[in-house]
Amino acid sequence: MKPKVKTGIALLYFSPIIIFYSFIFLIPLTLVMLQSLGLYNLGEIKAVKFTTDYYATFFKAGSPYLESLWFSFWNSALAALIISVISYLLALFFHFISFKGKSFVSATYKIPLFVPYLISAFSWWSLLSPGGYIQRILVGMHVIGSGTQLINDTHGIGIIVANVWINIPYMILLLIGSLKMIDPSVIEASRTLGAGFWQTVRKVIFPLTTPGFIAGTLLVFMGMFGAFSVPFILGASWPKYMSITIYEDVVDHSKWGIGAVQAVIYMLAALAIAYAYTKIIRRIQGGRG
Amino acid sequence: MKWKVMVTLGVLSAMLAFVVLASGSIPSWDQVVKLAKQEGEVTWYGYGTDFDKTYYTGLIKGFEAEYGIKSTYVNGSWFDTVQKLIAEKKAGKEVGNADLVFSWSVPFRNAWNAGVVWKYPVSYVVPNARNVIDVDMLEYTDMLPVHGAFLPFLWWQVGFLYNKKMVKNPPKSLDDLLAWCKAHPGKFTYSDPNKGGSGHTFLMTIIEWLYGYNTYYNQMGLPFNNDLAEPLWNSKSPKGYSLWGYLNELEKYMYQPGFYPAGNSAAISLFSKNVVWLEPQWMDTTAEWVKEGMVDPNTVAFYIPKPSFDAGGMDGLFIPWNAPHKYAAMLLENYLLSKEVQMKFITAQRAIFPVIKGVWNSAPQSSKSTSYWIPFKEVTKNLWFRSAEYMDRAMKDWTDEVVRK
Repeated sequence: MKPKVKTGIALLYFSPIIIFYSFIFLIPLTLVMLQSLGLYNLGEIKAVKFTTDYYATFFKAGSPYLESLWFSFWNSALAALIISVISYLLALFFHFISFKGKSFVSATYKIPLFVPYLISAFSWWSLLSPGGYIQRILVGMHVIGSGTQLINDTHGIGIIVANVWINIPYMILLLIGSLKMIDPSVIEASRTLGAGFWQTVRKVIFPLTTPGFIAGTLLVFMGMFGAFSVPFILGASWPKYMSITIYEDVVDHSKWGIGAVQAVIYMLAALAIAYAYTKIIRRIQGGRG
Repeated sequence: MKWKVMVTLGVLSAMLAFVVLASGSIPSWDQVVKLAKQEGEVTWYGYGTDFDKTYYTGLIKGFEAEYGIKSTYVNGSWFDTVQKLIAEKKAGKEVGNADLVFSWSVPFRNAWNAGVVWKYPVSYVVPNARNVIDVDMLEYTDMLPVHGAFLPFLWWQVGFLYNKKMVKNPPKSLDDLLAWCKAHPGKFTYSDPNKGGSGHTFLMTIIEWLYGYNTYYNQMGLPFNNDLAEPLWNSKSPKGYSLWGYLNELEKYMYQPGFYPAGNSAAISLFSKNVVWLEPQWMDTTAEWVKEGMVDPNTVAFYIPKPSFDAGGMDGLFIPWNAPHKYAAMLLENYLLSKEVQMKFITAQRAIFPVIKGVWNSAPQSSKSTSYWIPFKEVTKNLWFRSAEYMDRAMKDWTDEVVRK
């Protein structure tokens, strides 16, 4: 039985963290929300006046902002899918297979963890740009034509490649954590009952690691969805990530209002995804219970 | 010419304001120097690459050695610096820590509108400001009024960079650019105007060439009239194309139609790999790439296409409203506009142009020889001025009208 604590005392204990989060998150987010409605002016000195014009601009049919939101979403989702599949297979490999030099190999795949995003983006920019090593190899192997653009391209290929490279180690580490939590006797039981390796993966391991898999996928997705460095360096003139349109609107064009609306949309999207995540996890855990 | 008349009126009114102020509280220059030494300290906020940081830090150390004033250079970004000043203004912080800010037209306008610029006709107090190459530069920057509070410090310039090994007859005139691109498909590019200054300077130049420089500004009016700008840019010019029609037609024959290099470095990278042969480019960026051995200097040739090209940017300096050492800042401005400091732009072979008269002519021949590819004579005559306000709008519209189509 859990000990009962009075609400007032609980709040007192929590007050440092509540104050901390208020200053770090709540107040800035509220100000951004107010700015999106013209009720606050960050970065400029002018009279405040309530308006929904910025939202109307954002949601106008054919608006570039909607296109940016969609591009940010599908490009990040595709990268997240690739990362999840590759990482899952690699996590299984590192967890279940023993081989000589395993510690060296498992150290090398973690290299992207120690490379700043901007450096990673520039590295891929030089490798994939016309005349870059990878671009030349792919052309030589006839995988792509000499005119195929791999950076600053309209499909965001360069962004996906860099994001996959950057995020795979995070995802593998999360998945290995989930795999380690599986009771080995469960796997042994499955094998004893005659299941092959892949059957065990499908029927036992994957269901038990699903929460970690979904959590990891959503985390890397959210990281990429709102990222700036990689799409800034590797993205095209159009379509572009919403993080880039925010930057351009605010820094180049001093359009703080529409920039704030985009930030609010980003926040709402993050909240919606976090909500979906909790629902999915609850359903999975409820199904097991 | 409406624009010139406005400039002249602006200069005259500022001079009048200066005389009025001068008869009151403005100290003599000797007093400024004395007060600056009493202040004993100055902090200069700038922006740029690591190379720029080292370069400006070197300059400020020279100032410190000459005047005995403790000097600090802070390398940040123009955006951050203006936001910092605005935040201080909102917080009522009467004494800040930035004495001098290196900026360009648009952030200066934002700073001025936010009331964070020291409203003082500095350009008429600082002696070396009298030697700037064009008196208009003391009243306007990119056609934005500066009220004597913004001093030009250096002059970056865009021109046409071409590979002289591959191209024997570059399009000498903008009239010939499209035909040249058709004859050499895939060999021309320009930087995304939202990511590189060479791109938006080219964009403004094309606007002025299509609709006529004088006609353009007389029709449109200053400072900015969007009701006139957008219809004009969609209307057929005397050259037979609308602005967007021309750029979309040009795109068909450019390198990878629909692809625009994400910045000046991305554009020159394509040039260095011999992928493109012709592009608008900053001369200082090119000099940097040549110095770093990333571009074969034997391929580099520059020119200003006819009838002209946009000048600038002429980035410059202003003193914030809450600068704690305003006299020291003025003294530093004077130092930065001295012939000795301006000469360093040439001797360091950075392809940055001095803004002080006579500096180029007295530069050592060795420096001129090393920078043989800089078309100095072309640059110093009849360049067009660009308008920051129209440029800002054109950059935004370019995304919708060119790359989204």
